Amino acid sequence: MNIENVIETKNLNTYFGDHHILKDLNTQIPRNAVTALIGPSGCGKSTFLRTLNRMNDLIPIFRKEGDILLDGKDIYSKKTDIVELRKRVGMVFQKANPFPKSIYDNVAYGLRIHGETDENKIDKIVEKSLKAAALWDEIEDKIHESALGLSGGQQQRLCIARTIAVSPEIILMDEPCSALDPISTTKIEDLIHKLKDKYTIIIVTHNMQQATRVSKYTSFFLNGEIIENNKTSKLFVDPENKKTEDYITGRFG
Amino acid sequence: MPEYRRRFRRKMDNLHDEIEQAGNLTKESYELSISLFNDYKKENYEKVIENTTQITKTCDQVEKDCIKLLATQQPVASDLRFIEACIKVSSHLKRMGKLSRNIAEITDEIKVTAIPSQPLEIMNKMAKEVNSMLKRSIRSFLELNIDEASELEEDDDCVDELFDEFIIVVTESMKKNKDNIELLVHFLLIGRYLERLADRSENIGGRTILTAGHLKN
Amino acid sequence: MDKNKIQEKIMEKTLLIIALLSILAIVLIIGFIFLEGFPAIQEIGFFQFMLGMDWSPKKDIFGVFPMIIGTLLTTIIALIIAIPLSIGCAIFLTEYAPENMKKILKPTIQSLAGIPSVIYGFVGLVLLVPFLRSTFGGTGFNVLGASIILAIMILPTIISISEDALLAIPKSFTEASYGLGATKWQTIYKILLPAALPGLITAIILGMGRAIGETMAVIMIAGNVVEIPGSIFEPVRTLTANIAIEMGYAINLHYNALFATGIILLIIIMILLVIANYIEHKKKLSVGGGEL
Repeated sequence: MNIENVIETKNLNTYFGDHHILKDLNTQIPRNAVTALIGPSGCGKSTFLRTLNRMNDLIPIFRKEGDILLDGKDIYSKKTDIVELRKRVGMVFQKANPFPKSIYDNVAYGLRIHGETDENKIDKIVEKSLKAAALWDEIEDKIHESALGLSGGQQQRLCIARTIAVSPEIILMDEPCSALDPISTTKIEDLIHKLKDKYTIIIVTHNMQQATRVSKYTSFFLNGEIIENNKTSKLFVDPENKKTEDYITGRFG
Repeated sequence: MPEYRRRFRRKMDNLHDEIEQAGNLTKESYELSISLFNDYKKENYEKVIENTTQITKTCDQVEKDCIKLLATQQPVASDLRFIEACIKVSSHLKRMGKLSRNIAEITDEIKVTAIPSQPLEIMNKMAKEVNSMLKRSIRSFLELNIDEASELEEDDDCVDELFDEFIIVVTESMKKNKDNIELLVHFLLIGRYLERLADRSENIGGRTILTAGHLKN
Repeated sequence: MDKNKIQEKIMEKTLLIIALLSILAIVLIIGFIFLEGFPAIQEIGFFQFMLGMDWSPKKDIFGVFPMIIGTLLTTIIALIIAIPLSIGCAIFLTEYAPENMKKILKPTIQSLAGIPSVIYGFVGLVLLVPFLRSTFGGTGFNVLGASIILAIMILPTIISISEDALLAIPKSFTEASYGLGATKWQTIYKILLPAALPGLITAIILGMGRAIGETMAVIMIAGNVVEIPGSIFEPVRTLTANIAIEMGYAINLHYNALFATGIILLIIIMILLVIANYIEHKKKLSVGGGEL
């Protein structure tokens, strides 16, 4: 099967000080599909995610060896523009973190910091993003009110709108629904379904049923290594590795 | 393993036991129904009828338990495949129970002592082969033994050949003695039932192979 | 169970008494000032006192307007100097400084806060005043000198509270900003500072309070002439200096007038605090729905 891979890692090792987190990771992420990362807590899924948009750079004791290629180009090379990288690779965090500004200003933030000054253009993109995030109808009449007045699920959808406003190619999601009630979770999973044709989505989740619902491919992480990487339908019905089988059937972890 | 997972494991074990139970009843039922041809006893006939009811009940319970597990536990991988297999296998066992009853009912309708020796001999041969298939299919499923399960396909071909032979022998017997035709027509049906039982056993073997899946290889 | 309940009650009542005692102390002091100062205001007339341009105890003329200007002028100029320096320092410490630099800078700033005002005044007298004299002419004792010394004195206060305000902003905001591709300065300017604004204003208020109340260092540098200064290079007397200089030998109306100066000082402080708190309150509200 010939899948185009948008991200590729080669012998990726990461360290926080002396702690060896990711070990010799060689993997690929397919383009325009949803890939779920599952595995027990602390096994490197979030670290992997945050390495893809270099958010780990913010932590002084972080160190990496090996390569991460985005469309064939090393994202850690000296020529890489981090601002451009983070524009192409957006991130939605575990706990919704809208800025203490209006809903409009939240979505417009990314556009403004990248230099957009045409207010009309910003207007259009804000509306488009909020509609794509399935939030427009709910907040159209209070778009200039504080984002902090929204419910948890709405705030998370706002964060997604904010991320897609800068037209990324890849969206990283770090357990986006873990703090949300089932109905908000369903809305966000619905949103992921709508987005998956336009974007590459990588989602870390502890909820295996969520992984099966939203993703086409699943990677199982254990102790900093990827044990199995397969189509979701295959991995959850007939996994190839015994450790995968034991984890997903609940025999450990 | 956390407590709620242990309860799930216990429920899976319980499912396994229920299949074993239905399997045992099916085996017993079948052996009794065949024995009626060689030595008709009223109480054995009644046992077969009773067993069939019991088999149906157990299999219906298995199906209910499987649906419940699917809804409440969201099983995956080998658990999922096993539960699905149990639904199918219990349906096969139910049918096999009813086939045994069909066989027994014939012995109740005809005079078994009047059955000519040659057709009876072939039938016993066929019945023995089917008995072995039945036992092995159930055992292979409960143990997820792929090797044993793989043999059943060949055995089914064997039974099919015996069935062809059976038809020839019975037809011959009918030609020899026109008075026996009514008896032998009923007797012929048994061959059909035996062939069906062999088919079902082969199906159970097929399920075993699918359930065991990748890891067993 | 009962033992816990009794303990609870005792603690509650004890804390109540302690709180009341603290409030009592403050109320007594303020009450005392008003008590001693009021006769002067009664005799001289409130507006005469506040707007009077002459302060001549020998002639029983008491007008504190020049001192009001003196206090306000030195405080405002001190803030103009100190605010950018201290907020900038706080931003540097929280966002840019490497660990080992922080280890040196933080204790240094904290010790600056502990230096007695008379030492500041002394150093100012010996270093700053001659410099001002040779560079700008005049006696060297002027508004500018006093403001500079005040600015240095309030730096540690504003820096440490601003630091706390900046550190208190949840990392989730800055993470979100970086995640969208913002640079460090964009994140500080657009997210961190607006969010920390209430805390920064608190820091400024506290610095302002210290500046208004500073007496010793100001006396040694400001010149203490009772005149409205024509420029920042002319001497000035603050309200606090006014009280401190003459308290030792004041009697009768003079004595009461000095307390009345204290009343004016308290009124000014209260007005400034109200304005500052109002700004903080408005900022807290608008931080929610404001423009970038």
